[in-house]
Amino acid sequence: MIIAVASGKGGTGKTTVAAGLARVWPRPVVAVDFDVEAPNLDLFLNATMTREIQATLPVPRIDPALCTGCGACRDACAFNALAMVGPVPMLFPELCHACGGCLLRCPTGALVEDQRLLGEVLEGRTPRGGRVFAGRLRIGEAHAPPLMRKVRVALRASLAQEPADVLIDAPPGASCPALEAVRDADLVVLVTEPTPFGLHDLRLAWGAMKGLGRRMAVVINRAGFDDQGVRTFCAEAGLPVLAALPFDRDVAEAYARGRTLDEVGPEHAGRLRALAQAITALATPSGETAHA
Amino acid sequence: MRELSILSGKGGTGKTSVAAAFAALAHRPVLVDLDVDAANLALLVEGEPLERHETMGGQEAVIDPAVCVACGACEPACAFRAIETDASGLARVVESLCEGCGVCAHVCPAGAVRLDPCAIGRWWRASTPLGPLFHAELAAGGENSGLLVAEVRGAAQAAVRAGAGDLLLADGPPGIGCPALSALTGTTLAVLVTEPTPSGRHDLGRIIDLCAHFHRPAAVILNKADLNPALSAEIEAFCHERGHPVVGRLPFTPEAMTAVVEGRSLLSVTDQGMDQAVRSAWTAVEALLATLPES
Amino acid sequence: MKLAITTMGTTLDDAVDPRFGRATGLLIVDTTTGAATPLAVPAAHAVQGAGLAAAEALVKAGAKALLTGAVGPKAARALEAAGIAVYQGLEGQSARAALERFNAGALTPENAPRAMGHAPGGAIGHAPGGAIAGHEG
Repeated sequence: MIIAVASGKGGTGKTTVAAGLARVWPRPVVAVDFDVEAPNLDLFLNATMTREIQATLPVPRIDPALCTGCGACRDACAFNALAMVGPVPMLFPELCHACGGCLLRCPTGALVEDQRLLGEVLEGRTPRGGRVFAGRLRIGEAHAPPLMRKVRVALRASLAQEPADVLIDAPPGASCPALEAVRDADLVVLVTEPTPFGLHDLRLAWGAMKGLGRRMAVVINRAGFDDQGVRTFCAEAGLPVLAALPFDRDVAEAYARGRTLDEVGPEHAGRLRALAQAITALATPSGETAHA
Repeated sequence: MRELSILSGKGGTGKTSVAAAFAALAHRPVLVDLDVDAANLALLVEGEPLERHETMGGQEAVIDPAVCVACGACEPACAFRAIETDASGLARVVESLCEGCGVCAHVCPAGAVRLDPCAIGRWWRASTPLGPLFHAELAAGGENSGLLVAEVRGAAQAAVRAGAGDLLLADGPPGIGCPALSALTGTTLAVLVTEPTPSGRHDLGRIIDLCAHFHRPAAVILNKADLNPALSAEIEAFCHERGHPVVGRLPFTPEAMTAVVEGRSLLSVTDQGMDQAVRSAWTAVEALLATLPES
Repeated sequence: MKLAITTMGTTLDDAVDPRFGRATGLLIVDTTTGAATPLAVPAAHAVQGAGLAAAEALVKAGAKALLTGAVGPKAARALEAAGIAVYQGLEGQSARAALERFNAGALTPENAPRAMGHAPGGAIGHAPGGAIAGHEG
């Protein structure tokens, strides 16, 4: 079972919910931090990241001895990563999306695969032995999804050895990285807050993600304020509200000290356990008739 | 022209609330929301939309089911796993995952794939009680390459140059990727809003590295500073060491959240001295701005 | 020789556009005759690589110099490889004024990028004079 915790807006408590859920999850679970621009999940899970693998993306390299300067690769590149300003094309690997289009088009085999560094795939364990995967995007690298795909490869290899549920902490927003993070999820849990920002961004994320055909549900974090707007939207969109997690200074302080929600007090831990139950019930295949 | 960009590596630190409060304190600002992924400034600073523009960029593949021969060539060729085939083998492009590379069109033996130009988003010019506001919205699942950020920012810069205001005040995107780069390029001063949480501190380090990388002056505002005094002190020491002044320390108060829910500015929050703290941060930012060369 | 100027319009009376790849207009000027011909900016609205496409257009047009506001690091590399001399920091004056200063020998070529790009590995543009402008060249 793959559960993705996502949110349209940053700072709604996505990582708080993901980390809390990982700690109370009723079955073996692997926590995955797909927010590769700002990976934080390991901090909250107190995980020790023991493996660090450099992740690269295949980009073309030009063999000038074989290149005839025909420009077919340049014409094939939708991303302007190849420029014909001399006898052979000049490559700008930072613009390359690694689609492979140029390699397919080169008539003389002058393009060979090279690698560009995307960042690191990190793997570790929590003090209780739970597996944690994360990606850390190299500063200046523009594209998160390729690194996320590398994290997923490492995750799959680990799951093949030792099956478990997967809890994904997705990047915020409604653009490519957020969609990449939730694309394989059995259930997307959208964390929102009862502010005009929270509602606006929830609507955007829901709008972007519904095209993927994933089942979705909502958690209202920082509840206790007027949340009628969020609830009305969820009812109209057919999104079940699985939990309302109250807001108080204790929660904010615990977060500031790097503690998870279940550590704040038994009532918070209880709410998380109930949320975990509701999620597993909604995401199990037997209940999958509604959206399949 | 002077441009102030409010940024934060981490989302949810209070960037937009600070930007809206500064907008009320600044002299003749032109406002721009560069968080095109989740533009929220317009929710705090309500206005009247005056113009709307579509921003086109890139392309996406469309497969004509009437021409598709269900050969299955395109699906494995797609590096982005953006093609799905149905039970009868007909291929379909998942729009939100397509990056428009055109490899599927190249490998299709039947010529069933068309590459259509696509809109990456739209932007508006609005009039608000605080000044002109430019904001944008990325198309659902669109690639936030920074183009839309650059476009809406360019429109706002042009407005300042044309005399619509004295200062460009930008509410920037979270993160350190392309959108943040597009927002940071050439700005006069970056104000980084952080909070004393492990993730706040971690992401502040990443955004400070980015500012250093691009030689941009940056000042820091510590929001919810009293939540974890020890970590706040550590962050202040870190900023001092990196040469970035901490120009504001805002208190934690649930009243700030109530103000946001009710669409009020932080300047209306008196609990824990929030209003005074925001005013003094603005005074420090204004003084700092005056020392920096115009761009 | 031929040179290129980025402009906010289509004539020599328009101001120099501070941007290169996303400039409003490009003029190709024959310095012997003084004739100025507009050249389409090839990829002003490209998601990325606008400066590289513009550099290619300059090569095709046979330009040997570029007068502009600022070029980004990728465009700077392409222009360098193409042997095109780059003159930056000319925004805020008319294309004609910039051209006259060039003809009078009053400009110094500067091929290092002044605009910021996304490539951390390459040279990151930082204007010596403090003025940093443009995006992506």
